[in-house]
Amino acid sequence: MLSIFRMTKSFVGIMFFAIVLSHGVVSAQVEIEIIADVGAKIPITIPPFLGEGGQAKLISEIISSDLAKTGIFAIQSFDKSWSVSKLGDDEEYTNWASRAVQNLVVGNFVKLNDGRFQASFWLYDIPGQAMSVGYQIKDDPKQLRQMAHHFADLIYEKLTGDKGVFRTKIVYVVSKKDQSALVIADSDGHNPNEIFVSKEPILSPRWSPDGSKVAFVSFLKRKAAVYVTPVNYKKGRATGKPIVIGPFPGSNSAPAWSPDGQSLAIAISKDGKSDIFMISLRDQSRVQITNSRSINTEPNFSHDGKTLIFTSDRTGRPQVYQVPVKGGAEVRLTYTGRYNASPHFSPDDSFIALIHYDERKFNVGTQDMKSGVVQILTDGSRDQSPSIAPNGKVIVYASEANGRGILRFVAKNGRAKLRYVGPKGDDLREPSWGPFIKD
Amino acid sequence: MTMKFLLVAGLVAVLVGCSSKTKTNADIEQRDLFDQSNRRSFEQTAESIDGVVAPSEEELRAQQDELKREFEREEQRLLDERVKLDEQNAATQDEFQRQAEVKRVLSQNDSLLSQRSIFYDFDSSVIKVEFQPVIEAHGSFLKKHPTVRIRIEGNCDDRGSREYNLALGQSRAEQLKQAFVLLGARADQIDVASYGAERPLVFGIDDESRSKNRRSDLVYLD
Repeated sequence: MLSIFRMTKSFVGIMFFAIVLSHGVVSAQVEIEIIADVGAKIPITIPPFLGEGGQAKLISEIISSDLAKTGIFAIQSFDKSWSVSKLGDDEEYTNWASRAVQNLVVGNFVKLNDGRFQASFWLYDIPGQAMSVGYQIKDDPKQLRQMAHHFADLIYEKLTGDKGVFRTKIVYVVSKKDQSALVIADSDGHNPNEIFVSKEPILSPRWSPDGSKVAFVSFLKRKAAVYVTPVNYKKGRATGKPIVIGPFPGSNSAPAWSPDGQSLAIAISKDGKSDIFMISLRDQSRVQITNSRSINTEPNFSHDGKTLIFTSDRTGRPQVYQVPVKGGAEVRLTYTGRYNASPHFSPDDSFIALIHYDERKFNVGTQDMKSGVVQILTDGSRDQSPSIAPNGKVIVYASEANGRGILRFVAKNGRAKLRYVGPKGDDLREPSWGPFIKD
Repeated sequence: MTMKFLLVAGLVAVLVGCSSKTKTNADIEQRDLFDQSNRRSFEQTAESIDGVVAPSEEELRAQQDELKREFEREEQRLLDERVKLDEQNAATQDEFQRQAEVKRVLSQNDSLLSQRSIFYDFDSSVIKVEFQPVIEAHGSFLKKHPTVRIRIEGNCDDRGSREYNLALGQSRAEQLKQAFVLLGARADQIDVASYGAERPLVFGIDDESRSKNRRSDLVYLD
């Protein structure tokens, strides 16, 4: 495990982490680039956890990395000469206050006789002279990273008021020389695990709302077909084999889960047009939603389950439209730019993420549902497949570097950007962000 | 048949009886005994033939007629089969010739039919004028050979939404199918598929590579 902190003194401060891990034959690299030119950050000091060497230190490193990556926190440097312990009296708070520390995390790590470990942390509000969160976990050593992410979630929620997404998973497609794989990884790119491998291309993986299934598209007898595979979300593993939905005559693709997880909206291309259908997973019955002599694809449900947004080229170019699930007028939503596609509703349905083309490059942006204001968040040339974190604060998308597909993360406010590069030679694509972990 | 035998036996018995009037009683008795045994023997013979159920002439004739008809039917069947085989053989010959012709025409190097890809502008499934001759060549070829089957595979470059590209590739292939049908091909000769941006012909992100990837491929099926 290697951590590098580097601060430049330019107007735009860039913090750069490189986390390299070896995981059998699979290794991944996460680079974090945080643009810190706007807005105040929450300062926080996270000394190494008390306890035995490597693992205790790793916990504080993971928490620091999680919080730094959001672009909301400023991780304060720490003087090794400072003694760290659980705080009690006013004098100890005053002591930390004199070091200009505002938020302090004190942690403790112990190995138990039964093979498990016990870790605890306390978050202190130094100026307020109070402990704001305290938490203790006993778990298997394999769960060390998950546990550290859990602590980071609790700290994040306490200090920002929003739920953290550090324990969530992402699923994405890895394209190799002559095969494609569906991979589940932690949202920080660690623990990548192939859940499905095929000689045929794979695209459009989508988590079910409860995280128990992944829908995706592959090819069956040369036709695109929608599959659903059961998974264990916490473990990031497949628990069964993929089953094909339908297949209905024509090309079947672009699955989107209804918020209740009972139906999939999919696009079926046949006889020169592509329309969106609702497929009941109980009996595979289908209801047609769109009807026009054009391409209608990439459906996505609002989280209240009432409407669908989708991409249509009915005007000759792809734009985003909205239609009530129970039927009604199809209303155009995007007017800025000649090409808007891949729409995704934010968790509170207040904005959509999409890809936007301006005659030179494809970028990921957001459009506010009320004002219609479009904000472009990325600066690659071929950015695509945006997926929004369940707290609505970060968007993961597919991009490229040196001719290879990589995943990038961008904060919804545009203040933090991360790069996730897969093992050498792998082409990463089509990320989908999973739901919150249920405690 | 039985009656005849009995009449003959009766006559013989009367004649024998008349000619032996001069013989002794013992002789006569013996002779009678002989005659009776003889008669019995005749009767028995008649009875035993009756048990085998010897066919009448009518029945025999009917049987022979039936056999003859059966033979004629069999002869006709064999004849039909022969004709059918000859026809099949001729058809196979025709099919071989047709296949050879199809193969020959399709393998000609610098013909319009040797062009198996149609290229497009970005985000467009409009068939460009320059490809009209190629499309007409394939369309009339399909019309001329209604048993030839073809698969049109639509493809896109790497830019933009993968799902939108999958639909765009499908649209490219479908439009080409319609063009072939208008030229006289049968719809059931043509299968369409789209790989969107998933099967690039060339890996490259320059304009030239991308223009090669925005294509419909024509795949003749065996």
